[in-house]
Amino acid sequence: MLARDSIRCLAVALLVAGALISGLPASPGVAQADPYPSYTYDFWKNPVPAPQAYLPTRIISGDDIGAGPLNQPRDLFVDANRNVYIVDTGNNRLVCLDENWNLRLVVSEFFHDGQVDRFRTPLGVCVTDDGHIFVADRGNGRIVELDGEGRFVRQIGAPSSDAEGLVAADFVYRPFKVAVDRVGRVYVLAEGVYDGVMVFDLAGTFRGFIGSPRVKPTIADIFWTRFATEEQRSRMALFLPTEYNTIDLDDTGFLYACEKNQVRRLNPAGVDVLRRSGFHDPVGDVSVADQAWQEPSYFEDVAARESGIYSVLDRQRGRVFTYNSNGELLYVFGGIGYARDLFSSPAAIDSAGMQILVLDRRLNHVVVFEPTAYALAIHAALDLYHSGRYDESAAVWRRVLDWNSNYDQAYSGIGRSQFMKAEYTAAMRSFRLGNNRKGYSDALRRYREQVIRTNFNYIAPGVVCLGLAVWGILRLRKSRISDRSIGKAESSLRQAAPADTDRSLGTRLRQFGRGIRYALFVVFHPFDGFDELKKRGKEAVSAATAILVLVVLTYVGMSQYTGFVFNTRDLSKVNVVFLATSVLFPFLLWCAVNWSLTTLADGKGTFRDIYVATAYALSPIVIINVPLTLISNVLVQEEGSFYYLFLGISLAWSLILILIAMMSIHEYEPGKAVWTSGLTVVGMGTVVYLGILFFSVINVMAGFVSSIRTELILRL
Amino acid sequence: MERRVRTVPKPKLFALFIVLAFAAPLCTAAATVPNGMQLVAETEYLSLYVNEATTEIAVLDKRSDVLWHSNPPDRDLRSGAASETLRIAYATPNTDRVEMDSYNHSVAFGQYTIVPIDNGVRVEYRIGDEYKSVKYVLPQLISESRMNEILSKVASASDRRFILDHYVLISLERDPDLPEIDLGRSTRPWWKFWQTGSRPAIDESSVDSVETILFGGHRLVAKDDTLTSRQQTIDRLEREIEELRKSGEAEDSAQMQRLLRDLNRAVSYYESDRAKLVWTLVSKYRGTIVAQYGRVGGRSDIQSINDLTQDDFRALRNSPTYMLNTDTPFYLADMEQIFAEAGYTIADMYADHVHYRLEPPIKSLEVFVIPIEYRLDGDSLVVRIPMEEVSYPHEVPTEFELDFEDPGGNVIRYKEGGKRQTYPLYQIDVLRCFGAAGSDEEGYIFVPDGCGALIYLNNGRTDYPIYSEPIYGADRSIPVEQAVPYEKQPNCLPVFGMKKGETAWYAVIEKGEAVASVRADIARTRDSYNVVLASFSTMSRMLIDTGGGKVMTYQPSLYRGDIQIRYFFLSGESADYVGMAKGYRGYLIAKHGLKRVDENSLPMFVEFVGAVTKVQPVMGVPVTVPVALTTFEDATTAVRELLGAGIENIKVRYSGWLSGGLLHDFPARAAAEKALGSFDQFRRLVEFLDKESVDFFPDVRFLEVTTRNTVLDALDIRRDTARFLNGLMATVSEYDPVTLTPSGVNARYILSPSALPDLVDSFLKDYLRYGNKALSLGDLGAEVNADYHRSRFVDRQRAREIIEEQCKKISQAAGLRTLFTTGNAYVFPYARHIVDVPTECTGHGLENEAVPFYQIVVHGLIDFAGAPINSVADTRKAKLKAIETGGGLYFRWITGDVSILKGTDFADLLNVEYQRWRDDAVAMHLEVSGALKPARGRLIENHEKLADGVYRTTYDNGYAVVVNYNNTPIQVGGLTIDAYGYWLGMGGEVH
Repeated sequence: MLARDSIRCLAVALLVAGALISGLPASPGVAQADPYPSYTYDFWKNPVPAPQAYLPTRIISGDDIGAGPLNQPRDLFVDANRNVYIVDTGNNRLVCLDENWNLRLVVSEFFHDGQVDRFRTPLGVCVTDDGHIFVADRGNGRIVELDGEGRFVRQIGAPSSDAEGLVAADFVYRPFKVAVDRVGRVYVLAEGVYDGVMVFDLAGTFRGFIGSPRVKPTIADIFWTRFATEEQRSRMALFLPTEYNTIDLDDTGFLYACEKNQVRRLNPAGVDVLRRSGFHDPVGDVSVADQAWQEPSYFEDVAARESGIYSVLDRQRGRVFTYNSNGELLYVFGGIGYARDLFSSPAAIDSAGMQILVLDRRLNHVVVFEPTAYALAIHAALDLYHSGRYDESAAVWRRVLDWNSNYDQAYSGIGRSQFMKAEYTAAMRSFRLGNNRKGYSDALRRYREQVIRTNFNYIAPGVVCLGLAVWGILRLRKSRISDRSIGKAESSLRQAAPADTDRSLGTRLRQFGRGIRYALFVVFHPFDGFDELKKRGKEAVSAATAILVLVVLTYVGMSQYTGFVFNTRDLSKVNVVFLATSVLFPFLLWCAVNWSLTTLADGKGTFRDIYVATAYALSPIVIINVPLTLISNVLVQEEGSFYYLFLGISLAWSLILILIAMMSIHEYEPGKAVWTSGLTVVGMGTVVYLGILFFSVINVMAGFVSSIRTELILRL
Repeated sequence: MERRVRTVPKPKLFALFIVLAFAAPLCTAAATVPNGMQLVAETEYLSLYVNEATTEIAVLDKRSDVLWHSNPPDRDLRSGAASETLRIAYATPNTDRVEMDSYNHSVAFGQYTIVPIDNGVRVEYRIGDEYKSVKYVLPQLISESRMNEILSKVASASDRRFILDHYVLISLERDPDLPEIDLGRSTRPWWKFWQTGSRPAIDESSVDSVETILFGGHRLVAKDDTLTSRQQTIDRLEREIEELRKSGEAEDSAQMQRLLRDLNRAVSYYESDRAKLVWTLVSKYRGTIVAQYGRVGGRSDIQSINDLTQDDFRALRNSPTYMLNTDTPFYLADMEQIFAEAGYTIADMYADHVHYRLEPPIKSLEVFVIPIEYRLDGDSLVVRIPMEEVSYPHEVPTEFELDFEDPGGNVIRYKEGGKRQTYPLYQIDVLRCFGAAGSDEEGYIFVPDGCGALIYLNNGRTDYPIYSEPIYGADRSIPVEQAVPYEKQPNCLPVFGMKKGETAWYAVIEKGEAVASVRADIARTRDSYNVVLASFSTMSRMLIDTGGGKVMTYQPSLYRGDIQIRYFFLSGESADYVGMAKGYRGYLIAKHGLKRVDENSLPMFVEFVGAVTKVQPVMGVPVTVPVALTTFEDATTAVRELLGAGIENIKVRYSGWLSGGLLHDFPARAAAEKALGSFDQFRRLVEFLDKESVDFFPDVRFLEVTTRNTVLDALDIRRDTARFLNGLMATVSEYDPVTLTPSGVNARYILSPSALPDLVDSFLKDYLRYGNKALSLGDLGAEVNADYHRSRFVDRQRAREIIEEQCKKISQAAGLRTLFTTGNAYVFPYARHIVDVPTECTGHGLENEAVPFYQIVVHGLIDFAGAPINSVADTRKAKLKAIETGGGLYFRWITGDVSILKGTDFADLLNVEYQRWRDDAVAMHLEVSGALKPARGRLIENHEKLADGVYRTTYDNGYAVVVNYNNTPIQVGGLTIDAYGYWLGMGGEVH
């Protein structure tokens, strides 16, 4: 709580200072260049530049503190009084320092039952608020509890093997991490234990495991289990969760546990309650998390910090990622290299107030990081927001933006404050800059309400008038359509036929318009429409092409103009050529494959028929999606089902039309139409597969030739 | 045939070394002529000595009586470590790195010559054992007369006996019992005889077979004690049998039978001993068959015993010859010693072996000839390697045949058409151990990393690797696949040095610095040394992936420019980094005639970023469009505001004003970006700044060209871009901050240095029409890139010279005031201002402390500023740094809305909003310029660390500045300095 208050004071100080430029604590000693510019991740998983959030200010080696060189230290703990405990594994000892880095205590041996006892490869340490030290003594297979002066209190040995039958008889107990909560429960991680975190009660009795993630079967798993034998199925059920690397308790008694690049926050019942509402899950480097050719992050240690903030240490690239309680990435710092303040083999992390301490097991020292003004501002803004002081928090977020105009959360933070102040348009802009769709949607809803409320006097009559107008037009049309029977429509089309000889532009345009209008007829009267279409002349082809162009334009328009809430594309990377190809290629492929298939299956339709009919069948996409795209700009997230329903309708309608078109142009039974269509899709897949195969063979050949060429050039 | 001289035999050499080792400390103290050394040159200040046995040198600084050694005199002489003056690295067809040094691979073999030159001495090394295949310089066969000649030179009788114990006198004598098959003088291989049926194959178990076929019916007769005694036994037995026969004893009597049995046994003993000698002799030619290695030794031109002919043994016929009869290394080494003392050389061995048609000593190909010259020039030592005279095995033939019939005596004949080999010599470390400090000494190494950094001697940081960084930063024409996760500061100055106790030395790389790296290391073990040296990359290399494997490729030819390093010596008060900096400053003033700055107030460096490009969808098509950040009008307004705020001396740098924005188009023309305003508006900006006498530096970058080119550009990609060693066009881009691999963002071609002069001419011609008399050069002072094109290869040193010529052209011929960035040493004569000067060091693991060496050198001569204040994490520290080092403040701003930058490739322009910065900046500048007013145009006299984070800078007029980087007030000399505060005043001492 103290830390929280100090942060708040700091935040206020930040505000008061106003024109503050930097608030970095001192860093005497080697004046070094700033490490590599930091980064953060944008909505699309791209790393974008960010200023340094933390700077290394001190390096503490064993010689500096007068304890002699450390040897492969493995864990570090900062207690409530800011005392620092280092497990010096290679030297089998525990080194304790006070907050000013003065040596307080070195425990290398202690009296246990009247005899001198020692650690053997101790790996983990945890200190309770009353100063009792718990050490995971791996080599001796026990947890040792010492008092504040390093005197032996008790030891907790291996769990008895009969407890709930959870521990195998031949199990060798090698604890490597330990955590103790307020009530004195001891959490232990041990090697070779895949069931989660071991829990010991106050008396040191093993109480079972928590935090073993439930195995969630994937669809593929379910599929395979259907074919598996009983024995195979029983083996499959034993999917083992991987073992945790590290645990840390936060001040509310929740346990953070990491495995690989996953973090879990376990409540006392062992359920993961970590919030993952950032752009990306807290997995460290997201840009490499799902690429086969690159190593994802690997969390070596986690430090639970105040107000749900936590920092994880990635040993893959030596970086420290800090997330807030929502799982939003706050900042990244650190790296692996030969510069003095980078890591070689980072092993443990902990926080001491706003400081962050990282232990390096190969360089045998602790690097002390201090926050820059930028990081302080981020923390202050979060804290102000959590305590409900939205205005002040927005002001601090503005300071953050001064340093880093790429910081999405700052925009969101400002947006939230504007939202609270009912400045909805400004909030919408901020949320949009911050890529915060949820916030944008909320602001939009309020804005909508506001607009409707203020303009109700105009809107209500407007809507009534509009409704009347639509009703009128529809009535008028209906009477016209009922006047003109289908037969008349046919005859009028036939009458138009002689006009083919008339090549004047006006006539052609008229024909063209008629072709397009005819699409409306086809959409609502597919059986008659497609039959008729088959009989029509060349003008149907141009009309079909026009519809196709409209579909492409609709698609392009959708990707660019769909409301922000529903559009997650990076608009700066929208490429019309790519979009058009992604419509036209499957379309033409469909036509070609369908034609070749139906020719064999007694289809009556020509290629031209297929082309025209398919294009006409796609017209619901234009008819529904154009207004839908416009409307999506005023929809909010909760109305998403409406949006997606109409998207679905447009697709389903087109599909049905395609089937009907198949029936009518090829003169097929409904069943036959369905299976030829299905075969066409399979055929399309085959063509694509062969195409890819062909190109990859060509590619391999080209690569071969070029490598021979380079080799010839280089070796001769 | 070259003489192979082992001038000093090894044991005696050791003896000499031991004497030296004891004498060395004495002579350092007494500073008389160092033991074993000879005076070769002398000036008013220095004397130069050389040790002719080890080729090490020593320089006596007469002013302080301090003797500086090229190799530590207290080194362990037996191990041969730290004894070299040169160390080279080269590649062989099998390995990418082999190291040799001038002591263990040249001096130890006597492969060097020392020649006096004008005011100095020149040592020419042939590095690499010239007779690698010869283990011992001993004749396998030697004629009796020559042996006697040698023995006559051996003084000790026991030595003579020792030799004769291991040589046996043999000769081939005609045996009437053996058939004589003389097959003429043909040297045709044996299978030809087989075909013609004229020569049977040799039966490897039969001595007769050898003697008949190879010795031509001659028997090996030996004068050997054993054989002689066996002969005597046989003679005695035969005599006794004869006597018995004469006495009429029956042939089957018991005694007769016994004697005959004894005789038979004696004969078989005799024959078996003789057979051993025959096979020993044959193995000299054929080699010995050793189970796991196959054939060892012997003549390399024969495959088996059947390839030998009678000619090969003809020289042995009827001529008594000594044959070496042992292969015990211990004896051989001792014998070699005795032979060497008697004056037996490799040439003698060659003659003896050729005489007997044995394998002559074959010269090794892996020999590198490198001369090094030491000269005294006033108060400095100049070390030079004339690279023109350096040779390395380049395309040398490796296959040879032996022709003993050659009339010219040229027995070894290399096949011109055969396989050829190259051993690329890619690295030369010069005077690695010069002035090296032992593991118990105090002081520091100075390396020019960034502003300058100190590595404390023996700082114990053995977890970190050696410091090795190129001068002028990395060559971008050698691609970097993985960047480091920190910003590397360049080595702007070609200077390095060491302080050792109360003395110091430093060195300036005068020639070849663009291919040099500074390497420094601490003493890692008790018997190693703290060293700092210049290492020259004489051939650049690159690993090329051919698809089927990786091949190391080397630059087409050796760097042929000179290598020259000048060493200076300091002692007493001035023996520290300030003394080095002042010395180097004096050197620069003397060399380039640098003048003091004449402006009275501290300049405020303001950079406006004009435009950047952004990819925007236009009708669904992504198009690269310029986005204005600071228009011409805005820049005018901003400068007017700053002037209005009372700033006297503003230097405006305007980047991103050229067409294409910050990463501008190919600058063959100086066309302003249209998004920023019209031509007239730009002219008005120029006129306004001219009227207000504000120096206006529009920025241009020449060395890297955007890949966003069109066919309409003047850029001819094939002609104008540099190449990597793999032949591809050299490109660089930004690095992905996550993986640190090239990301392809903001990709640029590297301009070939050969295209630079034309480009600069063309740009200047167009630029001068604006009438502006100043220009900012964004990269000429910051990077040097070679061009590894196969046919128009330009090495990095030449590239640096071309860049310097352009700087000269711009500042002198075109008369433009210049502003450079980073400021590598070669721009000093042409630079009026330098921004982005490194103010810190990289922070390599070995470094203990950063020192403002660069700033001490240039202050008062060139106005400078560090990195833009906006980009540093801690502005208070940056401001204090400016006050500490006398630099100006540098701001990078845009006047537009910063959120425009979001999502562009220039999103790293952080914290650049002018509106927000203006008032703070004005206040900061007024504060700093006020504090530095008395220091204008003054040289820095001293810079000291008073306490942790507290530094005092003193100028040559006595003005002093003390800054405190701590977040707590500090008491220094009765003075309290606030946290992040400073103290200003006159007088050298803080009272």
